[in-house]
Amino acid sequence: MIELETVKPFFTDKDELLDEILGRYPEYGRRSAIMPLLWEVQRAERHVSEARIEEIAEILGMHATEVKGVMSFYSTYHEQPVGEYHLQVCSTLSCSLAGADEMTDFLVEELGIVNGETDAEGRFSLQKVECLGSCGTAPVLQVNDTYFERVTRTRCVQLLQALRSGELPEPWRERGGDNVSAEKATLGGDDA
Amino acid sequence: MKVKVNDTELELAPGTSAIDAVFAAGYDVPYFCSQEYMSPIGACRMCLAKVGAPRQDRATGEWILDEETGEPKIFYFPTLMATCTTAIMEGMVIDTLSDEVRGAQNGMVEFTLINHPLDCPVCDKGGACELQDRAYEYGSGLSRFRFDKRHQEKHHALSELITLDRERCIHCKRCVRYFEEVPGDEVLDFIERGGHTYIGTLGEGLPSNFTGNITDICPVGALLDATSRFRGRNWEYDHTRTTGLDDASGSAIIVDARTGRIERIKAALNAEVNKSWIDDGTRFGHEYVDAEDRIKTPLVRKEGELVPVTWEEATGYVKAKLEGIADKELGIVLRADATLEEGVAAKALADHLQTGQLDHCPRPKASVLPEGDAARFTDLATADAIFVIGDVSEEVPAVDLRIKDALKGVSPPASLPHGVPIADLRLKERMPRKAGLLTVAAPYRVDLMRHAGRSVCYPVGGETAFLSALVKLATVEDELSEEEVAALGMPVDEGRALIERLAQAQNAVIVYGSFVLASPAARNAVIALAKAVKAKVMVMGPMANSYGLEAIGVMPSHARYSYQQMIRGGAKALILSGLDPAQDPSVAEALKDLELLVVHHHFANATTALADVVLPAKTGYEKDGTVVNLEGRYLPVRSAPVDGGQSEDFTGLVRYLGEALGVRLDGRSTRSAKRALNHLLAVDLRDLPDEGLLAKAKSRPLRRVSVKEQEAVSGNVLLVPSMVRPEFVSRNPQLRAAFGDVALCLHPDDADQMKLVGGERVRLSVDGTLRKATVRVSETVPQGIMLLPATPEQPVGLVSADLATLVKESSELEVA
Amino acid sequence: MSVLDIAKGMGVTLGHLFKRPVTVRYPEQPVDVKPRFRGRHHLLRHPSGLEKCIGCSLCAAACPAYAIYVEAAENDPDDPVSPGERYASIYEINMLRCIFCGMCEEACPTGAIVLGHEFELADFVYQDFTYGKDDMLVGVMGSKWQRREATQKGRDVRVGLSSGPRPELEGVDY
Repeated sequence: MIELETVKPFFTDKDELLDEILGRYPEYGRRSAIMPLLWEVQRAERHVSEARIEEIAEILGMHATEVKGVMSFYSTYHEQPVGEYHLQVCSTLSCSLAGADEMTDFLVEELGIVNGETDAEGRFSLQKVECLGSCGTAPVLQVNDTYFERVTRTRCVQLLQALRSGELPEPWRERGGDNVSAEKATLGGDDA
Repeated sequence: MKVKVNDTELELAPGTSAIDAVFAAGYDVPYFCSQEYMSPIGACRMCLAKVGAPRQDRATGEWILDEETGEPKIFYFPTLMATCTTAIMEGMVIDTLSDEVRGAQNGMVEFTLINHPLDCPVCDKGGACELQDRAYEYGSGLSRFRFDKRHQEKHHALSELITLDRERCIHCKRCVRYFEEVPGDEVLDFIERGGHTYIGTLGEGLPSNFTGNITDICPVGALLDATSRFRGRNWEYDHTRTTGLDDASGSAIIVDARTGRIERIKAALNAEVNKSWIDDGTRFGHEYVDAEDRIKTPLVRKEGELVPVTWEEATGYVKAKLEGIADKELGIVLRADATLEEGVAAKALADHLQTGQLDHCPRPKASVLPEGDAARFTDLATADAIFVIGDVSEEVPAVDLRIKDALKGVSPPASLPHGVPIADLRLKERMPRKAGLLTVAAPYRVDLMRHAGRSVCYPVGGETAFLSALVKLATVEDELSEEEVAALGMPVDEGRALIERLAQAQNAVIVYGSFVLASPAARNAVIALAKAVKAKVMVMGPMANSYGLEAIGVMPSHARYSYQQMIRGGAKALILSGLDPAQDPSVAEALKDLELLVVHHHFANATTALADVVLPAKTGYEKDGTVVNLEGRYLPVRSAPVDGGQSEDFTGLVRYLGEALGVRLDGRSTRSAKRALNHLLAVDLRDLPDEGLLAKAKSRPLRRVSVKEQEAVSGNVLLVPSMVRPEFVSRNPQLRAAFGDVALCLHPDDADQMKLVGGERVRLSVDGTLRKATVRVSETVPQGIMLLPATPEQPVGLVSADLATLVKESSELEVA
Repeated sequence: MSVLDIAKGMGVTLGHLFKRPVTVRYPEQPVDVKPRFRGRHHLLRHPSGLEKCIGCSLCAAACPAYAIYVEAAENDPDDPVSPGERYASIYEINMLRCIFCGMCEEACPTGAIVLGHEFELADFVYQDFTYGKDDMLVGVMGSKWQRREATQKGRDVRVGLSSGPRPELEGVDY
């Protein structure tokens, strides 16, 4: 409660932005502005705190619970500040069958954090998420806004190395034909 | 429209859902997410069926025929359809029995059970669980799921009254939709998604007067009544369908008792009255019944001590004492939730003893009977303009919900062969509400104002002036004087707009309650207003049977004293049922001078401490009888098997006393009382149907004797109606933990001035009676006034409190 | 009838004189009952010491003689009586009503109640035939009367049989 009183409302001096966002929707659809508002907060603060949820609810005339419901539906919004690199492992069916669970175990071991945690330096956060919509190239690992597809153990190790040295490598794109037969040793394949 | 369900053809109104067609045809499909009076959303996918319909040729408009049979060809939907969200079409064919459908239902049961913990033996829903039943009926009995189930919080206290078991939740969304659609506060929602979804809320507790209903509608044991947790299994309870005596709505309830104790109360369906919702006061307010200090035997004062005796001995004692007392000096007073039968018994006793000093309490100064056109609940739900004066959410919460029905603009559904439609397709999630048709006026900000298009806070105690100003606006062309404008509490234009809205409406309803009833002049003004705008009226009496007791005339006859005068020296002997006037020290002094004080009550209290004879009374859950709700509907009250010792209701008291006096009085039993009532009202009250009986009473109400009572125009405490009866809250720690203590509400500025902070427990002498309460600071309270819940002895109205008597108590709650 | 016949008859008698007697010296000596004999109930515990009974009342529902009464309560998480949220705060069987059919045993989802081998349930007062949890929890031997006699005389409970509850029913997995 103390936090609520001391935190300055996010949208106080952003009338223009607010008007622009709310102006995109008709008056009866005011609640539709929930997504862009959440996104604004998240982009600025890397997470959406409970105080911000309540602020958005007040702007839109909704109950805070509803805002939280919408927000928690999307794994892109975070309630806790996430690390510099937010690793999201798809854990839905296709990825799971292609070895996402093994990838998670590997990451847990490498990073020393479990699902939903951020490491002490604020570098990495790990999260298991629902379908990322790239089932054809399972398993998928999303780092911040970038998809890394058909992640193998080798690729995972390389990726982690790059991230630890502070650079986010270009993702390898492998949509279309299955041209990775040489490297079919996906993580799941390895163990199987 | 003609519909064929399996082999049964039937004719149904357009707009009916396919699931209702199936049930109307006498077949069954399983469902979890549909619920009477709520929007169908097709979330659970259990009600799948094979559905098809004939098709018309676009060009010719003729039915496409099957070449082989020459009959219209049935085009089936490519997949199985959720029948709850499918509307029927002309010639629709619904198949619920084929192997394909059975297979799908079987699969859905298996899918639903994947993450369900199957801890049925320890679940309070076990035995009354929809999932359990459906799994037996439609499931295969086997699971192929060999993995770990989802693990979530097992015992999450959603509020003091409701526990949530997140593992058991099957995501039917009934509770989420309930809060948005019925009380209109979206306080619950799904959090997360997919298999991780759970029900949750931000903030503490559930801010609504209607939270308990979600425990009734939860199809599994996820949401449970925390007060009856683990008290018994569903098959062990005796279920008694009766009428709630907590407020004047006459809501249908089911009392579940076990081994002589009330364990819980659930809502029953009465489509005409409360639909299937009840408020938390009615649901959780029963704890006092099993209180440890319940009086279970008659007691007579011998040498200064109350000694247990038999009923015969007690009534014999009363008879002996009565002999010396002249007729007019005896008073008989009932609490206003007494049944009609008790009223008749009291009248018969009063007649026999030739005393006209008969009354019920709390009895407002103005009549609770509506004059002119009385509104029914269905009128309220279909009204196109509603004007509320008072705090309905606290006085009669059922009215609050019916007003919110009207805001949705969906009329009550027509009844189908299987009862209320399971899926009413006119209802949608997040329907736009026509807030404009509702105007709420009260002396302070009330909860319903959040839903009203226009709300007015008129000056405290200014009901008469406020309503007179409105009447003047409605009838006279003259401009209002400055004083009248001030009394209106809103700009004159808005007042005119309100009048216009009411006058132009086809079906306008004016709802008023205790604030107006506190003054006959205000009541006359509101009746005049209703006549001027041709609106129906609904009167919220203070208690369950205020209407009935007034209608049969349990009131002082001409030139006799009213209750307030009787207890202040107007009588030499008193028989009080269910009342505790001695909380007021000055009254207690007056009661000490009585020659005979008979108290008929459930517990020991300040008045029983002075009584010569104490007789054990039945609570509202143990009586058999009839009450009249605020619509004028006769509703049955049935006794639940509760261990009340030798307690009797007032008919029992009259039977024993009649035996002692050697007479057979009317109302000596429920049966004889019903006979007398038939004579009096021309209504046969034997075997009343569950939904009650709306009948015009034959006799007009007796003319009220105008007793000169000063109308309070000033004061610093406004006694307000409350959903939970303070006389029970303050004496029951369990209730207090659940609902919070009796609250003394103050404006922040006043609180600062009096050096009070929220949560402090205080004692204060209000109008002579010492009241205990917890301070609550709120901006909704007007400055210079304190709000305190009314009790039967201290009815709604403006009174004075001596601020010098204000004492802070060390908080007992904190210590506990 | 010849002397031979008499001798034959006496021979049978004589033969029995040297056989083991079929009578037993009960109550001086304990007796054995058949393995599947159903006697007084026992309420079992888990190896951890927690009670198996979760107070679900299914035994009471299954009981054809309405002999069982259960009241449940919530476990204190710090000091649980049974695993999970719920335990039986009152568990009573009226031994006068009980017909020892074993339905309670079959209905029990946790294998908490088991009909043992004790059969000496005679007593003097009606009230004493209502057995509570204290009388039935595993480890308690003898009927109420036998235990009362033992305390009065300051000696061990003397039960007229040698075996305990049916061993095959202990440790039922659930």
